[in-house]
Amino acid sequence: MRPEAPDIARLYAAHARQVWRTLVRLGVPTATVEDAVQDVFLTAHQRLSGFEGRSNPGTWLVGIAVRVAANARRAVARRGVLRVVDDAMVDPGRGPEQQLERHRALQALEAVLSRLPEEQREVVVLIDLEQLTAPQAAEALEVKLNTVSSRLRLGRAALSKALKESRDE
Amino acid sequence: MSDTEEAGELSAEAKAFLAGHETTGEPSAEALERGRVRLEGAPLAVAAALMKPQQPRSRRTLFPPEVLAAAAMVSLLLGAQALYLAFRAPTAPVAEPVAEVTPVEPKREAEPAEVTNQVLEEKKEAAEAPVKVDVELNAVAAAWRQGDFEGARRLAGRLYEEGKNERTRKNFEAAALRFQKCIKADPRYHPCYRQLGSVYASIAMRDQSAVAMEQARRAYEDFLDVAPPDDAYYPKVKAILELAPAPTPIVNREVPAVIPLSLSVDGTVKLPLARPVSRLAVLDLKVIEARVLGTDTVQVEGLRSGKTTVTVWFIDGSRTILMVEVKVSERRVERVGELFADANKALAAKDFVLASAFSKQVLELEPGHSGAQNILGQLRTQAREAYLRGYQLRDRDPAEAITWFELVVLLTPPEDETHQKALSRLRELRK
Repeated sequence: MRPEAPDIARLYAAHARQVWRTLVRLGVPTATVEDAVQDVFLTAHQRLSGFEGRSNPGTWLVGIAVRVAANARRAVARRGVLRVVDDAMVDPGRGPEQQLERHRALQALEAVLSRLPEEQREVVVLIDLEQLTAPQAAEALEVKLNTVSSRLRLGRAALSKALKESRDE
Repeated sequence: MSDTEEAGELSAEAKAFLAGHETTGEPSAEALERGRVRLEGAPLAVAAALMKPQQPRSRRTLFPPEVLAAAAMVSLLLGAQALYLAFRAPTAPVAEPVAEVTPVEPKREAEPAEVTNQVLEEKKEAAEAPVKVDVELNAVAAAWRQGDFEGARRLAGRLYEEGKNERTRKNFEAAALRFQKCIKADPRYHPCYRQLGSVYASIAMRDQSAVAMEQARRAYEDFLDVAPPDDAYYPKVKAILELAPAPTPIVNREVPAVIPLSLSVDGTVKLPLARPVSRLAVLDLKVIEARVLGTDTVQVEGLRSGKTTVTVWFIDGSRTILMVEVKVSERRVERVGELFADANKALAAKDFVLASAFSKQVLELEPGHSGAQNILGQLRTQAREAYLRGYQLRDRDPAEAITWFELVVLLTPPEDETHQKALSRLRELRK
Protein backbone atom coordinates (compact mmCIF):
# COMPACT_ATOMS: atom_id res chain seq x y z
CA MET A 1 0.00 0.00 0.00
CA ARG A 2 1.35 3.39 -0.98
CA PRO A 3 1.82 6.07 1.64
CA GLU A 4 -0.70 8.87 1.63
CA ALA A 5 0.08 11.52 -0.98
CA PRO A 6 0.77 14.88 0.65
CA ASP A 7 -1.79 17.61 0.21
CA ILE A 8 -0.61 20.51 -1.97
CA ALA A 9 -1.47 23.12 0.66
CA ARG A 10 0.67 21.31 3.21
CA LEU A 11 3.48 21.01 0.67
CA TYR A 12 3.25 24.75 0.03
CA ALA A 13 3.32 25.58 3.72
CA ALA A 14 6.37 23.38 4.27
CA HIS A 15 8.42 24.03 1.15
CA ALA A 16 7.35 27.29 -0.55
CA ARG A 17 10.18 29.23 1.05
CA GLN A 18 12.82 26.76 -0.19
CA VAL A 19 11.28 26.57 -3.66
CA TRP A 20 11.20 30.38 -3.89
CA ARG A 21 14.81 30.69 -2.76
CA THR A 22 15.96 27.96 -5.14
CA LEU A 23 14.24 29.61 -8.10
CA VAL A 24 15.83 33.00 -7.33
CA ARG A 25 19.26 31.41 -6.89
CA LEU A 26 18.88 29.56 -10.16
CA GLY A 27 18.46 32.89 -11.95
CA VAL A 28 14.69 33.33 -12.20
CA PRO A 29 14.12 37.11 -12.32
CA THR A 30 12.30 38.52 -9.30
CA ALA A 31 9.66 39.83 -11.70
CA THR A 32 8.60 36.29 -12.50
CA VAL A 33 9.59 34.33 -9.43
CA GLU A 34 6.11 34.45 -7.96
CA ASP A 35 4.66 32.98 -11.13
CA ALA A 36 7.46 30.41 -11.23
CA VAL A 37 6.61 29.32 -7.66
CA GLN A 38 3.02 28.88 -8.77
CA ASP A 39 4.21 26.85 -11.76
CA VAL A 40 6.17 24.56 -9.48
CA PHE A 41 3.22 23.88 -7.20
CA LEU A 42 0.72 23.56 -10.06
CA THR A 43 3.06 21.05 -11.71
CA ALA A 44 3.36 19.24 -8.39
CA HIS A 45 -0.41 19.31 -8.11
CA GLN A 46 -0.76 17.69 -11.53
CA ARG A 47 1.81 15.02 -10.70
CA LEU A 48 0.71 14.40 -7.17
CA SER A 49 -1.01 11.14 -8.07
CA GLY A 50 2.30 9.83 -9.43
CA PHE A 51 4.26 10.85 -6.35
CA GLU A 52 4.87 7.61 -4.52
CA GLY A 53 6.44 9.06 -1.43
CA ARG A 54 9.70 7.20 -1.97
CA SER A 55 11.62 10.46 -2.06
CA ASN A 56 11.55 13.47 0.16
CA PRO A 57 8.76 15.86 -0.99
CA GLY A 58 11.18 18.77 -0.66
CA THR A 59 13.68 17.10 -3.01
CA TRP A 60 10.86 16.30 -5.41
CA LEU A 61 9.71 19.93 -5.44
CA VAL A 62 13.26 21.23 -5.85
CA GLY A 63 13.59 18.92 -8.87
CA ILE A 64 10.50 20.50 -10.40
CA ALA A 65 11.84 23.97 -9.50
CA VAL A 66 15.10 23.26 -11.36
CA ARG A 67 13.17 22.53 -14.54
CA VAL A 68 10.83 25.52 -14.11
CA ALA A 69 13.88 27.75 -13.55
CA ALA A 70 15.53 26.45 -16.72
CA ASN A 71 12.40 27.35 -18.70
CA ALA A 72 12.23 30.78 -17.10
CA ARG A 73 15.88 31.46 -17.89
CA ARG A 74 15.33 30.50 -21.50
CA ALA A 75 12.35 32.87 -21.69
CA VAL A 76 14.47 35.70 -20.31
CA ALA A 77 17.31 34.89 -22.69
CA ARG A 78 14.93 35.34 -25.58
CA ARG A 79 14.03 38.85 -24.44
CA GLY A 80 15.27 41.28 -21.86
CA VAL A 81 13.16 41.74 -18.79
CA LEU A 82 12.14 44.91 -17.03
CA ARG A 83 11.67 43.94 -13.44
CA VAL A 84 8.42 44.42 -11.59
CA VAL A 85 8.56 46.61 -8.54
CA ASP A 86 6.84 44.05 -6.46
CA ASP A 87 5.55 44.56 -2.99
CA ALA A 88 6.78 41.02 -2.33
CA MET A 89 10.35 42.18 -2.65
CA VAL A 90 9.92 45.23 -0.48
CA ASP A 91 9.99 44.65 3.21
CA PRO A 92 7.78 47.34 4.72
CA GLY A 93 9.78 47.17 7.96
CA ARG A 94 12.95 48.35 6.28
CA GLY A 95 14.04 51.69 4.96
CA PRO A 96 14.89 52.40 1.33
CA GLU A 97 18.62 51.98 1.91
CA GLN A 98 18.20 48.57 3.48
CA GLN A 99 15.88 47.55 0.68
CA LEU A 100 18.42 48.64 -1.88
CA GLU A 101 21.12 46.76 0.03
CA ARG A 102 19.03 43.62 -0.11
CA HIS A 103 18.47 44.15 -3.81
CA ARG A 104 22.19 44.60 -4.33
CA ALA A 105 22.97 41.41 -2.41
CA LEU A 106 20.74 39.54 -4.83
CA GLN A 107 22.49 41.19 -7.74
CA ALA A 108 25.91 40.31 -6.35
CA LEU A 109 24.91 36.67 -5.97
CA GLU A 110 23.43 36.59 -9.46
CA ALA A 111 26.51 38.29 -10.93
CA VAL A 112 28.71 35.47 -9.67
CA LEU A 113 26.37 32.51 -10.20
CA SER A 114 25.47 33.63 -13.73
CA ARG A 115 29.09 33.04 -14.74
CA LEU A 116 28.76 29.34 -13.99
CA PRO A 117 27.58 26.94 -16.70
CA GLU A 118 23.93 26.09 -16.13
CA GLU A 119 24.44 22.48 -15.01
CA GLN A 120 27.23 23.40 -12.60
CA ARG A 121 25.22 26.29 -11.19
CA GLU A 122 22.32 23.93 -10.43
CA VAL A 123 24.54 21.57 -8.46
CA VAL A 124 26.33 24.36 -6.58
CA VAL A 125 23.01 25.99 -5.65
CA LEU A 126 21.42 22.75 -4.50
CA ILE A 127 24.38 21.45 -2.51
CA ASP A 128 26.36 24.48 -1.36
CA LEU A 129 23.48 26.93 -0.88
CA GLU A 130 20.38 24.80 -0.31
CA GLN A 131 22.37 22.21 1.64
CA LEU A 132 20.99 19.17 -0.18
CA THR A 133 23.09 16.03 0.00
CA ALA A 134 24.67 14.74 -3.21
CA PRO A 135 22.19 11.82 -3.50
CA GLN A 136 19.29 14.25 -3.01
CA ALA A 137 20.72 16.57 -5.68
CA ALA A 138 21.15 13.59 -8.01
CA GLU A 139 17.51 12.68 -7.45
CA ALA A 140 16.29 16.24 -7.99
CA LEU A 141 18.32 16.66 -11.17
CA GLU A 142 17.59 13.11 -12.36
CA VAL A 143 21.26 12.37 -12.98
CA LYS A 144 23.73 9.82 -11.59
CA LEU A 145 25.58 10.49 -8.37
CA ASN A 146 28.91 10.49 -10.22
CA THR A 147 27.59 13.20 -12.52
CA VAL A 148 26.64 15.31 -9.53
CA SER A 149 30.13 14.87 -8.03
CA SER A 150 31.75 15.79 -11.29
CA ARG A 151 29.55 18.86 -11.83
CA LEU A 152 30.08 19.92 -8.23
CA ARG A 153 33.86 19.69 -8.59
CA LEU A 154 33.80 21.76 -11.77
CA GLY A 155 31.16 24.12 -10.36
CA ARG A 156 33.17 24.87 -7.23
CA ALA A 157 36.25 25.58 -9.32
CA ALA A 158 34.16 27.80 -11.61
CA LEU A 159 32.73 29.58 -8.57
CA SER A 160 36.20 30.42 -7.27
CA LYS A 161 37.19 31.64 -10.72
CA ALA A 162 34.01 33.70 -11.05
CA LEU A 163 34.64 35.31 -7.66
CA LYS A 164 38.17 36.19 -8.69
CA GLU A 165 36.99 37.68 -11.98
CA SER A 166 34.24 39.55 -10.20
CA ARG A 167 36.78 40.98 -7.74
CA ASP A 168 39.20 41.98 -10.50
CA GLU A 169 36.55 43.87 -12.47
CA MET B 1 34.51 10.69 2.87
CA SER B 2 31.22 12.09 1.63
CA ASP B 3 30.32 12.56 -2.00
CA THR B 4 30.50 16.31 -1.72
CA GLU B 5 33.93 16.17 -0.12
CA GLU B 6 35.14 13.99 -2.96
CA ALA B 7 34.13 16.76 -5.32
CA GLY B 8 36.76 19.06 -3.82
CA GLU B 9 36.53 21.64 -1.07
CA LEU B 10 35.18 25.11 -1.60
CA SER B 11 37.83 27.80 -1.50
CA ALA B 12 37.82 30.01 1.59
CA GLU B 13 36.65 32.94 -0.50
CA ALA B 14 33.79 30.93 -2.01
CA LYS B 15 32.78 29.66 1.45
CA ALA B 16 32.68 33.19 2.81
CA PHE B 17 30.76 34.41 -0.22
CA LEU B 18 28.11 31.68 0.05
CA ALA B 19 27.85 32.14 3.81
CA GLY B 20 27.16 35.82 3.19
CA HIS B 21 24.26 34.88 0.92
CA GLU B 22 22.52 32.38 3.16
CA THR B 23 19.36 34.45 3.23
CA THR B 24 19.64 36.12 -0.16
CA GLY B 25 16.55 35.45 -2.23
CA GLU B 26 14.25 34.81 0.74
CA PRO B 27 10.64 35.76 0.01
CA SER B 28 8.70 38.07 2.28
CA ALA B 29 5.89 36.67 4.40
CA GLU B 30 3.39 38.72 2.35
CA ALA B 31 4.61 37.19 -0.89
CA LEU B 32 4.31 33.67 0.52
CA GLU B 33 0.81 34.40 1.74
CA ARG B 34 -0.16 35.82 -1.65
CA GLY B 35 1.18 32.67 -3.30
CA ARG B 36 -0.88 30.54 -0.94
CA VAL B 37 -4.04 32.48 -1.78
CA ARG B 38 -3.30 32.19 -5.48
CA LEU B 39 -2.77 28.49 -5.16
CA GLU B 40 -6.15 28.13 -3.52
CA GLY B 41 -7.65 29.54 -6.68
CA ALA B 42 -5.52 27.19 -8.78
CA PRO B 43 -8.40 25.59 -10.73
CA LEU B 44 -9.37 28.94 -12.24
CA ALA B 45 -5.72 29.68 -12.94
CA VAL B 46 -5.48 26.41 -14.83
CA ALA B 47 -8.63 27.35 -16.74
CA ALA B 48 -7.03 30.64 -17.70
CA ALA B 49 -3.95 28.78 -18.89
CA LEU B 50 -6.17 26.51 -20.98
CA MET B 51 -7.67 29.60 -22.58
CA LYS B 52 -4.30 30.81 -23.83
CA PRO B 53 -4.30 30.55 -27.62
CA GLN B 54 -1.68 28.18 -28.97
CA GLN B 55 -1.20 30.00 -32.25
CA PRO B 56 1.13 32.94 -32.73
CA ARG B 57 -0.15 36.34 -31.61
CA SER B 58 -0.10 37.84 -35.09
CA ARG B 59 -2.52 35.23 -36.43
CA ARG B 60 -5.12 36.03 -33.79
CA THR B 61 -5.92 39.26 -35.57
CA LEU B 62 -7.61 37.18 -38.26
CA PHE B 63 -10.69 37.22 -36.05
CA PRO B 64 -12.59 40.26 -34.86
CA PRO B 65 -12.28 41.00 -31.12
CA GLU B 66 -15.96 40.20 -30.53
CA VAL B 67 -15.49 36.67 -31.89
CA LEU B 68 -12.37 36.19 -29.80
CA ALA B 69 -14.09 37.48 -26.68
CA ALA B 70 -17.03 35.12 -27.22
CA ALA B 71 -14.69 32.19 -27.84
CA ALA B 72 -12.71 33.05 -24.71
CA MET B 73 -15.91 33.16 -22.65
CA VAL B 74 -17.02 29.76 -23.98
CA SER B 75 -13.55 28.33 -23.27
CA LEU B 76 -13.60 29.72 -19.76
CA LEU B 77 -17.02 28.25 -19.04
CA LEU B 78 -16.11 24.90 -20.56
CA GLY B 79 -12.76 24.95 -18.78
CA ALA B 80 -14.34 25.81 -15.44
CA GLN B 81 -16.96 23.10 -15.85
CA ALA B 82 -14.39 20.52 -16.98
CA LEU B 83 -12.18 21.37 -14.05
CA TYR B 84 -15.07 21.24 -11.66
CA LEU B 85 -15.95 17.76 -12.91
CA ALA B 86 -12.30 16.68 -12.97
CA PHE B 87 -11.78 17.71 -9.40
CA ARG B 88 -15.00 16.11 -8.22
CA ALA B 89 -14.19 12.76 -9.82
CA PRO B 90 -11.51 10.60 -8.19
CA THR B 91 -8.49 10.32 -10.47
CA ALA B 92 -7.39 6.94 -9.15
CA PRO B 93 -9.28 3.63 -8.90
CA VAL B 94 -11.51 3.23 -5.86
CA ALA B 95 -9.39 0.30 -4.73
CA GLU B 96 -6.52 2.67 -4.06
CA PRO B 97 -8.07 5.60 -2.22
CA VAL B 98 -4.71 6.75 -0.86
CA ALA B 99 -3.53 7.59 -4.36
CA GLU B 100 -6.45 9.91 -4.92
CA VAL B 101 -5.45 13.44 -5.89
CA THR B 102 -6.24 16.00 -3.25
CA PRO B 103 -7.05 19.01 -5.37
CA VAL B 104 -6.93 22.57 -4.17
CA GLU B 105 -10.55 23.53 -4.47
CA PRO B 106 -12.23 26.91 -4.12
CA LYS B 107 -13.27 27.68 -0.56
CA ARG B 108 -16.93 27.01 -1.34
CA GLU B 109 -17.78 24.22 -3.72
CA ALA B 110 -20.01 25.73 -6.40
CA GLU B 111 -22.27 23.90 -8.82
CA PRO B 112 -21.31 24.28 -12.50
CA ALA B 113 -24.27 26.55 -13.15
CA GLU B 114 -23.21 28.68 -10.20
CA VAL B 115 -19.68 28.89 -11.56
CA THR B 116 -21.10 30.04 -14.89
CA ASN B 117 -23.33 32.65 -13.23
CA GLN B 118 -20.49 33.82 -11.05
CA VAL B 119 -18.22 34.30 -14.06
CA LEU B 120 -20.96 36.11 -15.98
CA GLU B 121 -21.67 38.34 -12.98
CA GLU B 122 -18.00 39.22 -12.68
CA LYS B 123 -17.81 40.05 -16.37
CA LYS B 124 -20.93 42.21 -16.10
CA GLU B 125 -19.53 44.10 -13.13
CA ALA B 126 -16.23 44.57 -14.93
CA ALA B 127 -18.05 45.97 -17.96
CA GLU B 128 -20.16 48.38 -15.90
CA ALA B 129 -17.35 49.62 -13.64
CA PRO B 130 -15.48 51.72 -16.23
CA VAL B 131 -18.66 53.58 -17.17
CA LYS B 132 -19.26 54.59 -13.53
CA VAL B 133 -15.63 55.58 -13.16
CA ASP B 134 -15.68 57.63 -16.36
CA VAL B 135 -18.65 59.64 -15.05
CA GLU B 136 -16.77 60.24 -11.81
CA LEU B 137 -13.64 61.14 -13.71
CA ASN B 138 -15.44 63.83 -15.65
CA ALA B 139 -16.84 65.25 -12.42
CA VAL B 140 -13.43 65.14 -10.78
CA ALA B 141 -11.82 66.82 -13.79
CA ALA B 142 -14.38 69.61 -13.57
CA ALA B 143 -13.73 70.00 -9.83
CA TRP B 144 -9.96 69.94 -10.44
CA ARG B 145 -10.31 72.90 -12.80
CA GLN B 146 -11.99 74.77 -9.97
CA GLY B 147 -9.18 73.94 -7.57
CA ASP B 148 -10.81 71.02 -5.71
CA PHE B 149 -8.02 68.46 -5.47
CA GLU B 150 -9.46 66.43 -2.59
CA GLY B 151 -12.09 64.66 -4.73
CA ALA B 152 -9.42 63.76 -7.27
CA ARG B 153 -7.15 62.28 -4.61
CA ARG B 154 -10.04 60.27 -3.10
CA LEU B 155 -10.96 58.80 -6.51
CA ALA B 156 -7.30 58.11 -7.31
CA GLY B 157 -6.91 56.33 -3.95
CA ARG B 158 -9.92 54.18 -4.64
CA LEU B 159 -8.77 53.32 -8.16
CA TYR B 160 -5.34 52.52 -6.77
CA GLU B 161 -6.81 49.98 -4.33
CA GLU B 162 -9.01 48.47 -7.05
CA GLY B 163 -6.05 48.22 -9.37
CA LYS B 164 -3.98 46.53 -6.69
CA ASN B 165 -6.72 43.96 -6.14
CA GLU B 166 -6.93 43.25 -9.85
CA ARG B 167 -3.16 42.92 -9.98
CA THR B 168 -3.15 40.46 -7.08
CA ARG B 169 -5.70 38.42 -8.99
CA LYS B 170 -3.41 38.61 -12.04
CA ASN B 171 -6.02 40.53 -14.05
CA PHE B 172 -3.28 42.69 -15.45
CA GLU B 173 -5.29 44.40 -18.18
CA ALA B 174 -8.03 45.39 -15.72
CA ALA B 175 -5.37 46.54 -13.26
CA ALA B 176 -3.64 48.64 -15.94
CA LEU B 177 -6.96 50.29 -16.78
CA ARG B 178 -7.53 51.22 -13.11
CA PHE B 179 -4.06 52.69 -12.74
CA GLN B 180 -4.38 54.65 -16.00
CA LYS B 181 -7.63 56.16 -14.74
CA CYS B 182 -6.02 56.76 -11.36
CA ILE B 183 -3.33 58.83 -13.11
CA LYS B 184 -6.01 60.62 -15.11
CA ALA B 185 -7.93 61.42 -11.93
CA ASP B 186 -4.91 62.73 -10.07
CA PRO B 187 -1.72 63.06 -12.13
CA ARG B 188 0.23 63.82 -8.95
CA TYR B 189 -0.65 60.53 -7.24
CA HIS B 190 2.71 58.80 -7.83
CA PRO B 191 1.94 55.24 -6.51
CA CYS B 192 -0.25 54.66 -9.56
CA TYR B 193 2.67 55.26 -11.94
CA ARG B 194 4.72 52.64 -10.09
CA GLN B 195 1.90 50.13 -10.07
CA LEU B 196 1.22 50.79 -13.74
CA GLY B 197 4.88 50.11 -14.51
CA SER B 198 4.77 46.86 -12.54
CA VAL B 199 1.59 45.73 -14.28
CA TYR B 200 3.07 46.45 -17.72
CA ALA B 201 6.25 44.62 -16.73
CA SER B 202 4.13 41.61 -15.73
CA ILE B 203 2.27 41.76 -19.05
CA ALA B 204 5.60 42.01 -20.84
CA MET B 205 6.82 38.87 -19.09
CA ARG B 206 3.60 36.99 -19.64
CA ASP B 207 3.25 37.85 -23.34
CA GLN B 208 6.94 38.35 -24.14
CA SER B 209 5.82 41.76 -25.37
CA ALA B 210 8.39 44.42 -26.20
CA VAL B 211 5.60 47.01 -26.42
CA ALA B 212 4.45 46.32 -22.85
CA MET B 213 8.05 46.46 -21.69
CA GLU B 214 8.44 49.89 -23.24
CA GLN B 215 5.19 50.99 -21.57
CA ALA B 216 6.56 49.72 -18.26
CA ARG B 217 9.74 51.67 -18.76
CA ARG B 218 7.80 54.86 -19.49
CA ALA B 219 5.56 54.41 -16.44
CA TYR B 220 8.58 53.87 -14.19
CA GLU B 221 10.24 56.96 -15.65
CA ASP B 222 7.06 58.96 -15.00
CA PHE B 223 7.08 57.65 -11.42
CA LEU B 224 10.58 59.05 -10.91
CA ASP B 225 9.42 62.40 -12.29
CA VAL B 226 6.41 62.62 -9.98
CA ALA B 227 7.41 60.78 -6.80
CA PRO B 228 9.35 62.52 -4.05
CA PRO B 229 12.93 61.19 -3.76
CA ASP B 230 12.27 60.00 -0.20
CA ASP B 231 9.53 57.63 -1.37
CA ALA B 232 10.32 54.07 -0.21
CA TYR B 233 10.19 52.76 -3.77
CA TYR B 234 12.14 55.59 -5.40
CA PRO B 235 15.64 54.01 -5.14
CA LYS B 236 14.34 50.63 -6.22
CA VAL B 237 12.63 51.95 -9.35
CA LYS B 238 15.70 54.03 -10.13
CA ALA B 239 17.96 51.00 -9.76
CA ILE B 240 15.67 48.91 -11.93
CA LEU B 241 15.68 51.45 -14.74
CA GLU B 242 19.44 51.73 -14.54
CA LEU B 243 19.96 48.00 -14.56
CA ALA B 244 17.23 46.94 -16.97
CA PRO B 245 18.84 45.33 -19.97
CA ALA B 246 17.84 46.70 -23.33
CA PRO B 247 15.48 44.33 -25.13
CA THR B 248 17.30 42.11 -27.58
CA PRO B 249 16.78 43.54 -31.05
CA ILE B 250 15.06 40.94 -33.14
CA VAL B 251 14.60 41.39 -36.84
CA ASN B 252 11.12 40.26 -37.66
CA ARG B 253 12.01 38.76 -40.97
CA GLU B 254 10.55 35.35 -41.49
CA VAL B 255 13.11 32.61 -41.95
CA PRO B 256 11.75 29.54 -43.74
CA ALA B 257 11.41 26.47 -41.55
CA VAL B 258 13.51 24.37 -43.96
CA ILE B 259 16.23 25.73 -46.23
CA PRO B 260 17.74 23.49 -48.91
CA LEU B 261 21.45 24.02 -49.42
CA SER B 262 23.78 22.49 -51.96
CA LEU B 263 27.54 22.81 -52.13
CA SER B 264 30.57 20.96 -53.40
CA VAL B 265 33.25 19.14 -51.47
CA ASP B 266 35.66 21.76 -50.08
CA GLY B 267 33.17 24.43 -51.10
CA THR B 268 31.95 27.00 -48.56
CA VAL B 269 28.58 28.69 -48.31
CA LYS B 270 27.80 31.67 -46.07
CA LEU B 271 24.13 31.92 -45.28
CA PRO B 272 22.90 35.21 -43.72
CA LEU B 273 19.76 34.46 -41.70
CA ALA B 274 18.92 38.04 -40.58
CA ARG B 275 18.18 36.88 -37.05
CA PRO B 276 20.63 36.31 -34.17
CA VAL B 277 21.61 32.64 -33.93
CA SER B 278 21.97 31.07 -30.49
CA ARG B 279 23.35 27.65 -31.47
CA LEU B 280 23.42 25.02 -34.16
CA ALA B 281 23.70 21.26 -34.43
CA VAL B 282 25.06 19.20 -37.33
CA LEU B 283 23.69 15.71 -37.87
CA ASP B 284 26.68 14.23 -39.72
CA LEU B 285 30.00 15.88 -38.97
CA LYS B 286 31.77 13.82 -41.63
CA VAL B 287 29.82 15.53 -44.40
CA ILE B 288 30.07 19.18 -43.39
CA GLU B 289 31.52 21.59 -40.90
CA ALA B 290 29.26 24.44 -39.80
CA ARG B 291 29.91 27.49 -37.67
CA VAL B 292 28.28 30.81 -36.81
CA LEU B 293 29.96 33.91 -38.23
CA GLY B 294 29.17 37.08 -36.30
CA THR B 295 25.69 36.74 -34.89
CA ASP B 296 23.39 35.87 -37.75
CA THR B 297 25.38 34.13 -40.49
CA VAL B 298 25.96 30.41 -40.72
CA GLN B 299 28.96 29.14 -42.68
CA VAL B 300 28.82 25.61 -44.05
CA GLU B 301 31.86 23.85 -45.50
CA GLY B 302 31.54 20.62 -47.47
CA LEU B 303 33.88 17.86 -46.33
CA ARG B 304 32.71 14.89 -48.34
CA SER B 305 29.81 13.97 -50.58
CA GLY B 306 26.60 13.14 -48.76
CA LYS B 307 23.48 14.59 -47.20
CA THR B 308 22.96 15.96 -43.72
CA THR B 309 20.99 18.55 -41.77
CA VAL B 310 21.94 21.54 -39.66
CA THR B 311 19.45 22.68 -37.03
CA VAL B 312 19.80 26.38 -36.29
CA TRP B 313 18.25 27.84 -33.13
CA PHE B 314 17.66 31.58 -32.92
CA ILE B 315 17.76 33.57 -29.74
CA ASP B 316 14.03 34.21 -29.94
CA GLY B 317 13.52 30.46 -29.48
CA SER B 318 12.53 29.68 -33.08
CA ARG B 319 14.59 27.38 -35.28
CA THR B 320 15.18 26.45 -38.86
CA ILE B 321 16.65 23.39 -40.53
CA LEU B 322 19.21 23.47 -43.32
CA MET B 323 18.93 20.44 -45.58
CA VAL B 324 22.49 20.22 -46.90
CA GLU B 325 23.67 18.15 -49.82
CA VAL B 326 27.36 18.05 -50.54
CA LYS B 327 28.19 17.04 -54.07
CA VAL B 328 31.46 16.41 -55.83
CA SER B 329 32.07 19.11 -58.47
CA GLU B 330 32.11 18.11 -62.18
CA ARG B 331 35.80 18.90 -62.55
CA ARG B 332 36.51 16.85 -59.49
CA VAL B 333 34.38 13.99 -60.81
CA GLU B 334 36.41 14.01 -64.03
CA ARG B 335 39.71 14.03 -62.15
CA VAL B 336 38.61 11.21 -59.85
CA GLY B 337 37.59 9.16 -62.92
CA GLU B 338 40.98 9.67 -64.55
CA LEU B 339 42.91 8.75 -61.44
CA PHE B 340 40.80 5.69 -60.78
CA ALA B 341 41.32 4.48 -64.37
CA ASP B 342 45.08 4.94 -63.90
CA ALA B 343 44.96 2.99 -60.65
CA ASN B 344 43.17 0.12 -62.37
CA LYS B 345 45.65 0.11 -65.23
CA ALA B 346 48.59 0.00 -62.82
CA LEU B 347 46.94 -2.83 -60.89
CA ALA B 348 46.41 -4.80 -64.12
CA ALA B 349 50.09 -4.24 -64.98
CA LYS B 350 50.98 -5.46 -61.45
CA ASP B 351 52.58 -2.09 -60.76
CA PHE B 352 51.33 -2.15 -57.20
CA VAL B 353 53.21 0.95 -56.10
CA LEU B 354 51.59 3.09 -58.79
CA ALA B 355 48.19 1.53 -58.20
CA SER B 356 48.49 2.42 -54.51
CA ALA B 357 49.54 6.00 -55.27
CA PHE B 358 46.66 6.60 -57.70
CA SER B 359 44.11 5.05 -55.33
CA LYS B 360 45.28 7.28 -52.48
CA GLN B 361 44.87 10.36 -54.70
CA VAL B 362 41.34 9.23 -55.56
CA LEU B 363 40.48 8.93 -51.87
CA GLU B 364 41.91 12.36 -51.14
CA LEU B 365 39.48 13.85 -53.63
CA GLU B 366 36.56 11.63 -52.72
CA PRO B 367 37.02 10.01 -49.31
CA GLY B 368 34.27 7.43 -49.69
CA HIS B 369 35.29 6.16 -53.17
CA SER B 370 34.59 2.44 -52.97
CA GLY B 371 36.63 1.46 -56.05
CA ALA B 372 39.80 3.06 -54.66
CA GLN B 373 39.17 1.52 -51.27
CA ASN B 374 38.83 -1.86 -52.95
CA ILE B 375 42.16 -1.49 -54.75
CA LEU B 376 43.91 -0.50 -51.54
CA GLY B 377 42.33 -3.53 -49.84
CA GLN B 378 43.75 -5.78 -52.53
CA LEU B 379 47.11 -4.09 -52.17
CA ARG B 380 47.09 -4.68 -48.43
CA THR B 381 46.60 -8.37 -49.11
CA GLN B 382 49.48 -8.23 -51.60
CA ALA B 383 51.59 -6.43 -49.03
CA ARG B 384 50.97 -9.11 -46.39
CA GLU B 385 51.99 -11.79 -48.88
CA ALA B 386 55.10 -9.78 -49.81
CA TYR B 387 55.98 -9.47 -46.16
CA LEU B 388 55.73 -13.25 -45.68
CA ARG B 389 57.97 -13.80 -48.71
CA GLY B 390 60.57 -11.41 -47.30
CA TYR B 391 60.31 -13.04 -43.88
CA GLN B 392 60.95 -16.49 -45.35
CA LEU B 393 63.97 -15.22 -47.28
CA ARG B 394 65.50 -13.07 -44.53
CA ASP B 395 68.20 -15.64 -43.55
CA ARG B 396 68.68 -17.43 -46.83
CA ASP B 397 68.77 -14.38 -49.14
CA PRO B 398 68.81 -11.10 -47.25
CA ALA B 399 69.14 -8.98 -50.41
CA GLU B 400 66.00 -10.51 -51.90
CA ALA B 401 64.19 -10.16 -48.56
CA ILE B 402 65.05 -6.43 -48.51
CA THR B 403 63.41 -6.03 -51.94
CA TRP B 404 60.19 -7.63 -50.64
CA PHE B 405 60.14 -5.58 -47.47
CA GLU B 406 60.71 -2.39 -49.49
CA LEU B 407 57.73 -3.33 -51.62
CA VAL B 408 55.64 -3.70 -48.46
CA VAL B 409 56.66 -0.22 -47.33
CA LEU B 410 55.64 1.24 -50.69
CA LEU B 411 52.29 -0.55 -50.78
CA THR B 412 51.10 0.29 -47.30
CA PRO B 413 50.45 3.53 -45.46
CA PRO B 414 52.82 4.39 -42.59
CA GLU B 415 50.21 3.67 -39.91
CA ASP B 416 49.65 0.12 -41.21
CA GLU B 417 50.98 -2.65 -38.96
CA THR B 418 52.59 -4.54 -41.85
CA HIS B 419 54.31 -1.31 -42.90
CA GLN B 420 55.81 -0.91 -39.42
CA LYS B 421 56.95 -4.53 -39.27
CA ALA B 422 58.55 -4.28 -42.72
CA LEU B 423 60.47 -1.17 -41.66
CA SER B 424 61.70 -2.99 -38.58
CA ARG B 425 62.91 -5.94 -40.66
CA LEU B 426 64.66 -3.59 -43.09
CA ARG B 427 66.55 -1.92 -40.23
CA GLU B 428 67.71 -5.34 -38.96
CA LEU B 429 68.82 -6.53 -42.39
CA ARG B 430 70.69 -3.32 -43.23
CA LYS B 431 72.83 -3.41 -40.10
